[in-house]
Amino acid sequence: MTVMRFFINDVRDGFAKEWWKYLLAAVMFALLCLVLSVKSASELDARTLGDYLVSTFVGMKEYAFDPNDPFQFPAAWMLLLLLIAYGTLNYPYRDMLGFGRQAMLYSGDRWRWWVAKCLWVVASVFLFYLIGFVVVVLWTACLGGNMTLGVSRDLPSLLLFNSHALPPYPWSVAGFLALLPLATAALCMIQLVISLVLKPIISFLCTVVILFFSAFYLTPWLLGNYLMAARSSAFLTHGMNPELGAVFSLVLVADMVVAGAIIVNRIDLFAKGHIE
Amino acid sequence: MKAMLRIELGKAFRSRLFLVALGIGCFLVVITFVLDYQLSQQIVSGIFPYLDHKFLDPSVDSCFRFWIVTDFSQPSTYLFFMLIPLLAALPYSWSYALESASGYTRQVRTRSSQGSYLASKMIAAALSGAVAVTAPVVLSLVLTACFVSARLPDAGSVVYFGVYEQCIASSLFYTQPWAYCLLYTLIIFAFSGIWAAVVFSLSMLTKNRVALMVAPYLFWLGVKFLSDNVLVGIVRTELTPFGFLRASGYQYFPNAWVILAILTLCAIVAVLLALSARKRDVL
Repeated sequence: MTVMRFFINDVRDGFAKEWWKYLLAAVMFALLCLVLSVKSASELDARTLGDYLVSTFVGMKEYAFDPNDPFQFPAAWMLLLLLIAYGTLNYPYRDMLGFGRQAMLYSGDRWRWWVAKCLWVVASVFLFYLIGFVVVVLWTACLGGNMTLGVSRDLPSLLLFNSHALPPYPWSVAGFLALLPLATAALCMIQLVISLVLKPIISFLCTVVILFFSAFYLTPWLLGNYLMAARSSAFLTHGMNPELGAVFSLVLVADMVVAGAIIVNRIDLFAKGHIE
Repeated sequence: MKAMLRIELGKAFRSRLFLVALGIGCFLVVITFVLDYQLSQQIVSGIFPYLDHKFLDPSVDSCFRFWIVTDFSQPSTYLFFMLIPLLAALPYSWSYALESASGYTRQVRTRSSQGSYLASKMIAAALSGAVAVTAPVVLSLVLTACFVSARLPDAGSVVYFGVYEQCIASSLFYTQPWAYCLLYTLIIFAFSGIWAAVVFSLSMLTKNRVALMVAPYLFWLGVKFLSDNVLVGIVRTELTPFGFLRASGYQYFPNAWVILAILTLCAIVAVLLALSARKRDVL
């Protein structure tokens, strides 16, 4: 079987049978837009597409310990990213124990199966973002907002960004927005590789831990930092550079593809047990 | 029923995922202790030489301050409370979904009643979930009490303890701290057990083990999202276990009645779902 045939099967099985996850993501994107609309009730028509897009991945500003201001994790940001991560969590593992196991045994080729799964995970993440983008565009259009990627001046104060370290206006968010699917794909690839070795639920737990530490510490080594608008160099003078994030994400994706290929080649398919 | 319960308890407490959940909890507790012990040593060297000359409160170096439930300075503390719903469900809540899919349930059904099988499973899931979460909490108290003095916390240093007047049983914390620790341990035990039972009972609706454990966790994140963004100013209390299982509070304080209502609601959902499956034809 060619990689393409594996991938077509993945699209049929992974997307078509689990469409409700994408619907859930669409609802979540709409809810996040609603939150911004409620916050800026008097200036709805002044909101731009960029405002709404940024508001879906706010995250939180850098946390500095203060006994009077304890850490509050960004629930909206985490929920959205965990929804996407969950969307890519189950199918590859389930396929490895079902159709994929048979296909790998009969074709004698595990490498193609693995590449198809990597493609499916990346495609799935991009589909989540495409759905999110369509929802946000529709929301902006329905409320009569401006269809530009420019960001309003009052947005940082509305979303509780660090107002003391804002770069000069106007803020360009194109780099940050372009990085989002790439960094999320890297996160989901890490999750995929861990799920091969351990169980999917343990790999999901690892994703929660990565996102949690990303929220707690501002460091370029934690992937989640690139996924927060509040910590992007667009809104923070010492924030995360999108170019660096893109390189970091691509290196991680490449590493995970290689690591996963090695693991898949050595894995005992029959010792893995039942379909989850 | 007794034999069935013994079998299920044995399976639950010997499962690998029980050890994984326990291990993660204990690891986070030890990390928290190591970080807090360094803080305690700084206090000892920074404050104690001046106690005779200046008015300084020695109770800020108390084991009750560094217990994982009252601590609010270490990232591992926040992570532990963030993972509690997952850790509670991890040990055995998935067992019915697995056994239904594998055909084991049908074998058991021919040898025992469905009611006793489900009841035993639910009790085993609840107990293993509760122990997996509560044991690290107890370990945290034992560890800190072994290395840091059990000084009675002084309410004048409330900013260091984070247990404000509005917190549940705050007066108990400053008068009978051991009783306070027992109370919070019981609250955490009750929540973890009941939550593990809820996740178990949801396996009557789905056989997908990953969805079974992840979806309820996302539910709590959803509640946190709503309480942070939609219910701001309307509901002024902690609505999720990420907040209400912790002793300290700032923005919103935990409310005993809300916790009781949530626990009752969860228990009712768990029992009703399990009852609905009691007469289901598994053959």
